[in-house]
Amino acid sequence: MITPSLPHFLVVGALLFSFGLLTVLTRRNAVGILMGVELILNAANVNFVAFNHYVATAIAGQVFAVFVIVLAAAEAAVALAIVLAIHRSYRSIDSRDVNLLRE
Amino acid sequence: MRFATRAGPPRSPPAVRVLVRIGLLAGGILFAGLGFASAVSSSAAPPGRFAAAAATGATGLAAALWALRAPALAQRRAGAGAVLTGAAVVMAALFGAGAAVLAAAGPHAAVFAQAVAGAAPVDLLFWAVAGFTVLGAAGTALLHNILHSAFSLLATLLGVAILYVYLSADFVAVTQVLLYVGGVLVLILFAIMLTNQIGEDPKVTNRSVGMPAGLAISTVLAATLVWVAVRGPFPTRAPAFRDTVVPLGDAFLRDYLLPFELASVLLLAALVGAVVIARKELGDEAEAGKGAA
Repeated sequence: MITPSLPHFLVVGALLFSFGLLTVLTRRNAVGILMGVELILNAANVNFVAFNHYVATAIAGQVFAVFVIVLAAAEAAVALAIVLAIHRSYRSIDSRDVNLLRE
Repeated sequence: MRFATRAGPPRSPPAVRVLVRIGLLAGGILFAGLGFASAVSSSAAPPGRFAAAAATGATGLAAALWALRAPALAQRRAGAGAVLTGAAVVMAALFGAGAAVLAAAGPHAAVFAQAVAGAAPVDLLFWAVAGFTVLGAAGTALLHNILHSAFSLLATLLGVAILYVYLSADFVAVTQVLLYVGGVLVLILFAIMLTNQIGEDPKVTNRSVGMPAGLAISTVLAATLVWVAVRGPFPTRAPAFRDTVVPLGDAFLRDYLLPFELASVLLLAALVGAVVIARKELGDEAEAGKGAA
């Protein structure tokens, strides 16, 4: 009961995912939405590693976790560059203000 | 009218003050009841225990009394008699509720306390870390100031790194700290500071919209996921803690060689893309130069 086992980690992952979804749904700030995406990726990662530890015999889960971390780093770099570019042309990063494809 | 406005230092918002006061009141009454009750029942026990229980009761009573006479109630401009009567009613109600909860949860609480006392410190630390992680996620979703959200995300990322250690994923844990905490979070903080005026009204710089609907959706989702996680028939094996760096390296260079190389190509593309997107347009600078000249 007190000793952590698979469901404990899955519950932590589920809560992280729900809070990440809440962030993505309710934030208007583009950086805030990005933080929600990071939360969701972390939730998936916790599940990967937990299943790898408690269910799988190979190490594929940890390999996937490392790939997810790499993808998240690339995603954050590109997305934040886009946020800066948007801020330069709109003077705002409110996701509702950004409604034009051209300058 | 006797309790009319008093000049003083700036105060926290009324809602917070009232919540703190109610919490202090309830906690104080609970402590007072528990302390005095155990003092009565342990009068035959060693005097140290009796004194500790009595001191707990007295502290709780003092806290509850302080919470009662604090200005929030006084500002209602009621007479002292009404305040005292109301306080007595509230105290009696809370005391009754506390006694009922204690009577209902007492046996479970004893079992729970026994389990906690018998658990290994490492297991208790897991609960602390898990709570820390989830609280950080809640802060990221709910805090008003976006800078606070970012630091709350830091708590979550560090907590997840510690959870990886519990899952025998040493390499992933270190990667999490290096890449997420050292890289992604610093990028996020940079983006916040380059785009938002921190001193501005957080309601403008970090609005949250549709909170009831969002809360409903994520609550339903969380309930579903937790139900699956708790009830799911996962064929678990006995977990073994092992060194994972060597198997990971083997896997990357044998079974996952193609994705590994693709990831490096992706990182190169992201690097070039980020630089191209984030730099100033050459035309802009030329125009700015003309304008200055």
